[in-house]
Amino acid sequence: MLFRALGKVSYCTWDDMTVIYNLGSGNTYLIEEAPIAMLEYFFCSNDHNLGEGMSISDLSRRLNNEYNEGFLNSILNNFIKMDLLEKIG
Amino acid sequence: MDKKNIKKSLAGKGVVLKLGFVKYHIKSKLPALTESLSVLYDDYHLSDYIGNSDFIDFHIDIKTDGSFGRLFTRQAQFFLDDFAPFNALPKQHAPAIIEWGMNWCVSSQINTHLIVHAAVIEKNGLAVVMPAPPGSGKSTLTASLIQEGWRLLSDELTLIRLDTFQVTPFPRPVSLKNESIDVINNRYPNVIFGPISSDTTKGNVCHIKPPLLSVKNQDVECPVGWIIFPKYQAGATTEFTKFNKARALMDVAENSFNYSRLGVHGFNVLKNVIDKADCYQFRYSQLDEAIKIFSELEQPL
Repeated sequence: MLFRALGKVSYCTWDDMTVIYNLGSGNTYLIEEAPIAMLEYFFCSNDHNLGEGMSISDLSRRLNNEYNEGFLNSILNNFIKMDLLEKIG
Repeated sequence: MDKKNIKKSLAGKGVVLKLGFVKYHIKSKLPALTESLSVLYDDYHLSDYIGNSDFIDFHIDIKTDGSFGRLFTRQAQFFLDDFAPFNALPKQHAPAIIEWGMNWCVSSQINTHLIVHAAVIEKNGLAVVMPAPPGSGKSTLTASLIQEGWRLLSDELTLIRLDTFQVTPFPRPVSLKNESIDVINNRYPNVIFGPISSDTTKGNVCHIKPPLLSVKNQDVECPVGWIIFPKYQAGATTEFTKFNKARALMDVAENSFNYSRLGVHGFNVLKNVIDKADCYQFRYSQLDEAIKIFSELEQPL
């Protein structure tokens, strides 16, 4: 299963809580304990192709195995609910 | 302008009221409005309307039902450029109708600022923004604090610039309802009240005149130091607790009139303002304790 970003975001973080602004839809979301590196990789990086998919295990490696896959899966599912990410493949 | 001239101008070409960065052109034949403007706005810049050469943001007319086709004038209605956004109400509510209408003009038409449903006051160059839904005691608290040395920037609409993130003052008369009218009248007997509008949909409504210094400094902007979410609760012990900034941002956005309309600019304003401000939740039942807490606010780091 691969995950692919649907657009870019602007965000801000205070004390493990992140406010995400979806630049495409204009919606604003609050999410707890979202790894910033993950946000940066999927939604902010200019060298990342938006159509490019990534698996959870690839993502986990990219985040230096700091987070277990169950946790990453729950964050990714939140991003899907926010219309920021889609499952492909 | 004196009362006689206000009455004459209102019934004729109209008066121009400069309120912060906004200019209203107001016309009406209703005597209650003459009373209201002469009592509440005599410290503001009021002048005769001189026609199209005068740049006006909002052309307002409070018409009676006599002027829209009825024999007896029992009702009054707010018009902006001949458009009536609200239903007609009993004409004795005219002082409240114009205040609500003037707020509506700004909250629905202005997009040069992020507009938040919040009171905002200032001391020592820093503003306290107090977002809260109706019934939270926001206006009673504001009415008290401006009698205790705080400058009124607005009791209803906080206007934050999109470029500098500073608050632009919009110091209007403070709206009080029901029991709050007596609370403020008993506590501050020198406060000047406008005409009371009884039995409106919000109960009895009355506006108080802002302190002269708030009106004189209506062009002086300032940054936000604190965002405080007040909640009056009868009999409650005072609680003043730090509030997570991310949650504060969501709550301020929720209380904003044009956050969605402004797109990413609205988000950027809140991100910058909240990052520099301290955020608190505040529950109170005693005005004395509330005033003390505000007087002891420490500057944000």
